[in-house]
Formats: sequence, C-alpha cells, structure tokens
Amino acid sequence: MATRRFMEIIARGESGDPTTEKEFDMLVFKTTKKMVKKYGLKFDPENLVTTDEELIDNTFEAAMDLLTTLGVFNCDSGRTIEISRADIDETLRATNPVAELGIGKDKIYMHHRNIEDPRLPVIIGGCGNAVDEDIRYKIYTLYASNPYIDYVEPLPPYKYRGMLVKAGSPFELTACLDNISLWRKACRDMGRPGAPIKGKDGVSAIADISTNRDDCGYRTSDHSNVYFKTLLKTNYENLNRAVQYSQYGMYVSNTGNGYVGGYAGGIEGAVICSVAEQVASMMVFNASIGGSCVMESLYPNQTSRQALWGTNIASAAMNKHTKMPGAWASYMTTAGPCTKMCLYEIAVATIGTTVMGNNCFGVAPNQGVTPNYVTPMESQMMGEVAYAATKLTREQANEIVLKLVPKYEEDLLKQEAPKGKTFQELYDLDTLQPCQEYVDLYNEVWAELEEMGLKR
Amino acid sequence: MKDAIFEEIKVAFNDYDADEVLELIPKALEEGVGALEIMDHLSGLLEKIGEQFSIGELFLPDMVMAGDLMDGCMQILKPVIMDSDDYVPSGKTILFGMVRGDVHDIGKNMVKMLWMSSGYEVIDLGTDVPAEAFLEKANEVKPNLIALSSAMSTTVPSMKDTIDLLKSRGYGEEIKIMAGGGSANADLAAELGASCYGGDDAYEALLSVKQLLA
Repeated sequence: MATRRFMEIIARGESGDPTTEKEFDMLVFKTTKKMVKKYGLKFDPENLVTTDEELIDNTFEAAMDLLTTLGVFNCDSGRTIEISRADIDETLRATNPVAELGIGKDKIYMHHRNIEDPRLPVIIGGCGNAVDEDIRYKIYTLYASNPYIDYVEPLPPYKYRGMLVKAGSPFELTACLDNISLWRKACRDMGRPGAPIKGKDGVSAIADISTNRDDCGYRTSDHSNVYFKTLLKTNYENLNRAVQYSQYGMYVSNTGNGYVGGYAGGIEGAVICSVAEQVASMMVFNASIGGSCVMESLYPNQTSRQALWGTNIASAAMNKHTKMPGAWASYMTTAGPCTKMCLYEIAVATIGTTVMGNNCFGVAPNQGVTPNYVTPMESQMMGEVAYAATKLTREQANEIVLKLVPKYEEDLLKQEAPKGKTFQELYDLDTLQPCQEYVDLYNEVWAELEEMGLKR
Repeated sequence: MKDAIFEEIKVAFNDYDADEVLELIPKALEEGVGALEIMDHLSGLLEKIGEQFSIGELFLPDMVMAGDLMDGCMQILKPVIMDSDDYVPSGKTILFGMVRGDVHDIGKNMVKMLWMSSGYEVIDLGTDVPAEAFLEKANEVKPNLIALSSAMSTTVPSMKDTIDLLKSRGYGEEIKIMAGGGSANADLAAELGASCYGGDDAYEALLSVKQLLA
C-alpha cells in the first residue's frame, strides 16, 4: 500500500476547485514552463546519463512544486484533487521499497534500486505488439523459459476467433481472460506456475477488472497499471481501476508520462511531469511501483538524445528521492526485430535506466504498432544489457551511450527506422529456435557493446 | 500603414496576446485593410506556428492558444467577409474524431491543429465517438473528408464499424473516409475499407490531407 489515505485523497476531487479540462491543460503548460525556469533545468545532449546531483535534486523539487501547485484534475467531476507537501512527505515516508510478486517458489522481489545499484534489476518482458492467435502460446513459452526474463506483460489480444478485439465488448473481456490464462498455461508448462504477470492488456476498465480472478486471471500477487490521462488528469474509469485493484489486494503500478511537445512543453517539462505523475500516483492511485516514461510525441520514440536524457533524469530523481521500485527501460524501439538499430536502441535505453536505478520493462519494436513484429530476443537483449550495466558507473554508462547514439541517430532523425522481420520469419515454428541470422546479428551487436566497455 | 499594423498583429499574435490582437483587427478594418487580407495574414502566422510545431520548436499548447486566437479573430472577420460582395467560400471541412472506445486525444489534437493551421475547418467530435455520431454530423455538414482515428488495437474494430456504417450510407466515394492513429497503418486502413490512410505521424497526416483535398 502506498498511502492509507487513498480514499480520502480521491474524495477531494468531489469538492475541490471547479475548472474545465482545457483550463487545467493550459495551467499545466504554463506552470511547467515556470518550474523549468525556476529550477534551472536544461537539456544537455552530451550528458545523457548525468552525474549532476543538483540537476537531479532540482528536477524532483520542480516536480513536487508542480504537483502541489496544480494537484490532479478529475475530468468527470470537473474538480481538482489538491495535494499538499505534507501529503507527499507522509506518503514518501510510508513507501514500501519492495514489491513481492508471484507465489511459491516462483516469487520475485522487486526492490527499489538506488542509482548505480549493483543489485540485478527485475526484467519484465513482452508488452506492446499484438500477435496472431496461432503463435501466442509458442511465444509465451519462449518468454516463460528465457533465463533473462522474470515475467511479462502479456502481448495485447489482437483477434479473437478471427474477429478483431473490440474495446468494451464481451469479446474483449473474453479475449483478455483467454490471453492471461494462456500465459498462465505457458508458465505452468515451463515449470513456473507461480510467476507473476504485469497487467493490463485490456482497454476498457470492465475488461481489466473482470480479469482479476485467482483461478485463471490476475492474482493478488500480480501488478496492474493505472495511468493518468496526460497530464495529471484522471477520471472515474481510472479511479475505479485503482479502487478495485487495491480492494482486490494486487499491486497498482503506474508509468509517469512525460511527452515532449504536449502540454509539458519541451523535454525539461516532460521530465518534471513524469516525476510529478509518479508521485501523484502513489496517492491518487495507491500505486506501489513506478516507471519514468519520457518520450517524443511527434515521431514517437524514446531513444533520441533528449528522450534518453529525460528518461534517465526522471528515473534518477525518482530513485534518489523515493523508495518506490521503478520499472522502465527499453519500452519501445523505432526499429524492428533482427535489425542492428533495434538492438542498439534497446541497449542505449537500458544502460541509462539501469544505472539510474530502475528495474526493466520492454520491448515493443516498431513503436509497438506492427502486429507480430516482436520476439523474446528483444526482451532478452534488454535483460542481458541490464545485468551488464549493473557493473557500470554513470560516467562509464554515459561514455557507452554516447558511442551508441550516433550508430542509429541519423536514421531516427530521418524517421527511417528499418521495420525488421516478424516472429514467424525469425523463428522455426516447430523447434521454436531463432534463425541463425538473428543469433549472429545479436552476437555481432554484443561484440560491439563489449568493445565499447559493456561486459557481458 | 498596412505593413505597420500587420507587424503589430504579428507580434501580438505570436505572443498569444488575445486582448491586443482583438483590438488591432477592428483598427485595421477601420483603416481600410480588407477582411480577406487580414485573414490571409493571420493564416500565414498560424501556418508558421504549425511549421514550428512540426519540427519540435513549438508545442501542442502553442497550437491550442494560436487556434483559440484565430477563432476569436474569425468571430470579428467572418461577418465582415460574408457581408462583402466578393465573398467566395473556399474552405474545406474535415470531420474528425477518435472512434468509439478510444479516449486518447493527444495525437488527435496535434493532427487537428496542423490541419487547422493549414486552413482547413476541422469539426472535432472528440474522443469515444460512436459510429452514429459520425454519420449524423456528416449528414448535417457534408464535410470534404471524414477522418477516423484509433490509438489502440482494441478500438480498430470500432473504426471498422464506423467505416461500414458510413459506406452503407454512401460515404467513401465522393466524400472520402480516412483511417489513422497509432494503431493504424496503410494495410490495415485498406483492410478496413477506408478510402485512404492518414500517415505515420501528424505531419504525414497533414501531407495526406493536402494531397487528398488539393
């Protein structure tokens, strides 16, 4: 539990200051801009894994200033949930630094990690890209048996009995339950029946909530995400999720979203908003696990220089100033499986976030939007890189990151990331072994990483 | 005289200073500058802001503030333009919204602002829009284009429902139906029966519309 006063805090949204969503959005923009100036935050393209403690501290203070100035807006009641500094201090004092996930022999402890923490992070694989029904079980067994992947966020259901899955329909609910059951079966078949799951894969709250059932759905030892509507806004649907998950007894996780170009403004504002949302989530959603998502929004990516800088600073600020475990690494790449660019992007994002104290979550190739363009090799790359990065200082990490970025930066800026190949093209569907081409490419990139100073 | 007041409008517009801009426009009209000329000048300013947004120099709120300001200016200019003898309507209208079940609006708003900044009138039905609402509005305003967006794979079927309903009522031929958003791609748009695909990002969506409505 993140705060015992969760229900009291969200009830403030029934009597707080009335405002409109548009007014709140503009207030976020103006206040964030003011905070960036007040705390002197400035993007530095040469220090992507920063050692500047003052910058990290100021980022956190700016985010708390933003949160106490604005609060969180409930779009359904049209009122603000006020958050005070005392609320924040009380919540941070009471934060549990460990999440116990999974059951029995398969239990995993996700710890809060410090900056430059030598402990191995927890690796959460899977996530974004949907896959066809006929390969779902196969791919799940590969995730479940991969030594570098602790557990997954199941890939979202795409089709159910030949139909595209429609949000809010009984087919979505059934497809989501079927999806989780299949993941449980894959874990059981691979000898890990107690492995946890990171949720959710449904879009509607009804599908998310309906899949919380101990027999074949989400267990109380799993965790599920509740997000803000960008930025610092919520509604009854998301609050219902948070209330139900909390009452059911599962962990609530959150990803603090800072999108460059939106109401956060530039990269510095996006960083502040990501941190503010995560701290707010501890109170408004009763969240126990965080994640610093700072991304570009015009051409969605998290591997441009500014997105890397932002994600790393936000992660550092959260991990230095709170005890909440954070899980975020190479959530998304612009390139697809079996391309060097995809592996470089995974490495560059994971090195920084691991050194800054995160556990790891990813990977969705091709911005997570192309069905079947995903394999466990990408999550394995994230896991292997993360383990290796626990041996690095921030200075060493920054050196490697600065060598990696130019290897793909031109294609990223031109928006010409290669699409790669599908799971079906890259794996033998009988033996479930990856093709030699991908194995060779994987080892080739690793040889380059070792040459740069990242020891496998 | 015109150059001087246009420069004043430019400075105030770029500062999103609504009070100043809304004072300067009647002043320009009083000084004999034509309403269409003023509108053209304002469109240029808005387009410049759109360009800066598309390369990351300005942000979504800048587009929102500029859009609001343009709306305010149009309240003053529209009656004057419509009263004049040489008024020829030239605007193209796009009916736009996130399909049923989809509440994501950041991408939609970016695309909308880019379209507006390029002179298109955008009727934004918002998020979580039922197929019926698209049809009713299309029947009412007869837009030049109907643009549907879906950000999640689980709302793609709602896009298909909407396309099917619109096509069953004759849309999709003369009045094209565009499919876009984070969960869409060119193959999917074709599979769903859309007339065209919006593009991989906001700027591509602008180029697609420019090509389609040229």
